[in-house]
Amino acid sequence: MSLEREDAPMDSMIDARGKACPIPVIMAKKEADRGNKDFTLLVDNKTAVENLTRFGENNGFNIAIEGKGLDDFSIRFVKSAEGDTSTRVAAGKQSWAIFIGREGIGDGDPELGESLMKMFFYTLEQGENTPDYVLFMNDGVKVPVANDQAVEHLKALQDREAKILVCGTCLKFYNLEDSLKIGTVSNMYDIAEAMQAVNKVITL
Amino acid sequence: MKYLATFHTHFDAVKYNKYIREMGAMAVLKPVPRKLSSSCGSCVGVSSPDELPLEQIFTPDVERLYREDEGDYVLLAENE
Repeated sequence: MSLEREDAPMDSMIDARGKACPIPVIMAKKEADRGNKDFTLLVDNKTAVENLTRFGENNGFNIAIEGKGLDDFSIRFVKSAEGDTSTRVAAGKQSWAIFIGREGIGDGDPELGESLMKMFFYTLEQGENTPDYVLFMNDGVKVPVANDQAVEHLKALQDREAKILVCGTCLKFYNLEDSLKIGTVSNMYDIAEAMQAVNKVITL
Repeated sequence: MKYLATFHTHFDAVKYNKYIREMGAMAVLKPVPRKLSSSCGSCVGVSSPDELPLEQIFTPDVERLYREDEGDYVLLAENE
């Protein structure tokens, strides 16, 4: 029988400076998966701080951030007494997510596709079954940036606890990082995790 | 006052949506409610803090114009 490691002192420092998104989150996850309940990551950008904070909070850690300037942060993860306070969805409700990888719905005329996207989110807002996640990637990130009507509907869905995650790599690729109107700048790790956390994912 | 306009084509609905916004009112492109029928599945909901005159709302592109009243729709005007 092997002994559990949880009683061993495992405070450790992990240097994730210079690592591109989502590597710092993966490094944190590896550490958490090892059973480490108290560790610190060093990162050099604010997006990594936000991603790591979200990861920590979703996985039952208390987070303490120290910043020394704009490119030097340390984030301490300490497992909270309540254990895993992960986000997972309340029992009894069929959880679901929408994955949007295009600016419009379907192939064909782009203007029609954009209108259909507006009407889709209008219809979703009117309904009672709010998705747990709305996930935007690739061309889809242009919806929470440029589709003003869809943005209004997304705000209403967010007020009803839908989590809106927008791929940061994609925003950067299209040079839209400063234009996001709704949602959280996120990463592949969070988006893939959200897809696995729900009962079904609908791709538009 | 809230209005709902239906159209013969989706193109007319998109054009009208843009036109209403340019007039300073709120326009929402949405699917035609189940209780109404129309040539086209897209319609535009119009609301405006400062009332637009009806002649500016009921353009030649509009198929039918309804007044929206707590989920009910009262037909106000119809183009031939």
